Amino acid sequence: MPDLSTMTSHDGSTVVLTCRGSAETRAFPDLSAALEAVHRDALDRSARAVIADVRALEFASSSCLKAFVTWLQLVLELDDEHRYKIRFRSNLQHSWQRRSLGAFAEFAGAVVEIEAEGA
Amino acid sequence: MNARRLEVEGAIGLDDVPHVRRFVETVNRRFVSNDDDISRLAIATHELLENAVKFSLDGGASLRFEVEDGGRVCITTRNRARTADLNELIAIALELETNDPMLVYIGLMKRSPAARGGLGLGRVAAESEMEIGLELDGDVVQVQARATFAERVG
Repeated sequence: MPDLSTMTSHDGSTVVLTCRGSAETRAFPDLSAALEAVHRDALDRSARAVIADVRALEFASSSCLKAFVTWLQLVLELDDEHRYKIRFRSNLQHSWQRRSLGAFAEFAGAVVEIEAEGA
Repeated sequence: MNARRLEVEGAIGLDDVPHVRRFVETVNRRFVSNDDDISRLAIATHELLENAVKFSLDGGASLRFEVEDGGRVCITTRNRARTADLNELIAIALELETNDPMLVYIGLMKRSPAARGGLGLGRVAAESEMEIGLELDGDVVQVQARATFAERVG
């Protein structure tokens, strides 16, 4: 299983973060740094949405889930003017995603949206 | 699902945990009936073993993965731990025993990012839907996760 890789691109004012591979615990610092950078980028661009494309993310340890949770918390704490949506693009073939992203939606329903494909 | 047992013991490093998870996942593909259950077991194996390794006082930890006839699975980890970590573990296990696991899991997410404890035990209960049990013997903690999974037919 390949190591975690992250890539950021843009679609208009929307920031797109693509995660691939396996987010094992040792990837936590890199993932945290990538999510912080995406957050800054989204604020700089006054983005209304960030797409987190995790369709090719085969696994994430709870440490890496915590990195996402920290990001969600940062967005929740923004005022209405700066708060953006985080739209997770998920892959139903990785069934952990349905469970983990479902928990994210419970935690931060005001900012999390989930698109699923691959049924 | 045939009765079987897998045990790992010794100086296990954090980098070893994904290998154990993948091995358990590979074996379970032969016995467990669907991908979702295979994923639930992989998550539980990973999180319990990672906790045992991460909070081990002496670098030692063990994991036992057992399946009884009828598909009853029990995953057990053992490690020595600091008193503060044991107390934290007891508090989370008690919460999971008396509350909706998903609510406890969300509560763990809301804690400060700097909190030493993570989401692992809550994830096993909420995402893997396994019952958590705890036994203490001095500074040795044994954590068990149990659930019944459908057997693969044929």
